[in-house]
Amino acid sequence: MSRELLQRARTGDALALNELIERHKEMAYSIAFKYLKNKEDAEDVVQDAFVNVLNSIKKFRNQSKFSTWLYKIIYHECLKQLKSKNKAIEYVPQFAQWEPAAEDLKEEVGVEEGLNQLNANEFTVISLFYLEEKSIKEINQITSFSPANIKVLLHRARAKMKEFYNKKYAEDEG
Amino acid sequence: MQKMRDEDIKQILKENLLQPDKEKFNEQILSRVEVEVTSKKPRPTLFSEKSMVQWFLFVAALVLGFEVFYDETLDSQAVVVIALMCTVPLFLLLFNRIFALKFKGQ
Repeated sequence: MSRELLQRARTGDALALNELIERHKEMAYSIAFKYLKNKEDAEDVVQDAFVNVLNSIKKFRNQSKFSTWLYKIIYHECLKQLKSKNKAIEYVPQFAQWEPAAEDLKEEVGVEEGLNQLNANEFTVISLFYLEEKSIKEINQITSFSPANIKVLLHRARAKMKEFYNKKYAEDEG
Repeated sequence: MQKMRDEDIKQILKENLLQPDKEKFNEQILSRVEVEVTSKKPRPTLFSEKSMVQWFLFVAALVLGFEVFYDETLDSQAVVVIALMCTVPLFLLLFNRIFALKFKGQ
């Protein structure tokens, strides 16, 4: 994303603001939906987060800061909503050492279930890492997970996706 | 067995991203944004600023070329004419800015 787009958005250019929403809405909505598991709630959280970030757009010098803040708002808003609805938040052990659990690697993943096997934290971390190309430090800024936890989540998510990928590949060949 | 590359992970993740169902999703956001949303009309100008600059550069290059390839000294009348030709686009640029200021805030 260019500085030019952000510059245009700062001046209130409707096309540039729309382009910013277009670039991030799928990712933002996917993360929100993964946590909230409800379309309307996820859409509301994403819309509120966009309004919040776009109203403060003059603060951002580059897109990386813009998207980091956007995902941070979405992540924390989702947690707030889950808390208010007394839903359990997936436990992420703090200070976990990077040590792949054997059962994680053997975990069976049905092809038909695909990415549903990834829990919300795993999905968020792996999507931010690969699709948004965020560093561990940036993911830490967004989610407040420790770098060690992020590496554990990334490892687990990769293992599940590998399983999914191999089954898919085997099915395609067979 | 096929080895999973980073590109494969990206591809799978990309294919599984969800799209919000809500109609006019973007419009609803934009209607709530307090940044003054403009559809960016270009400011009216009298002359094209690009051609002014091109003209200035062309005349400057011409004078420089003349000085380099012809060793004759220019008389004072020629110097005044060249100086005027060089400064005309600058004046036009100034008029342009003054003209555009009239439309500022409209």
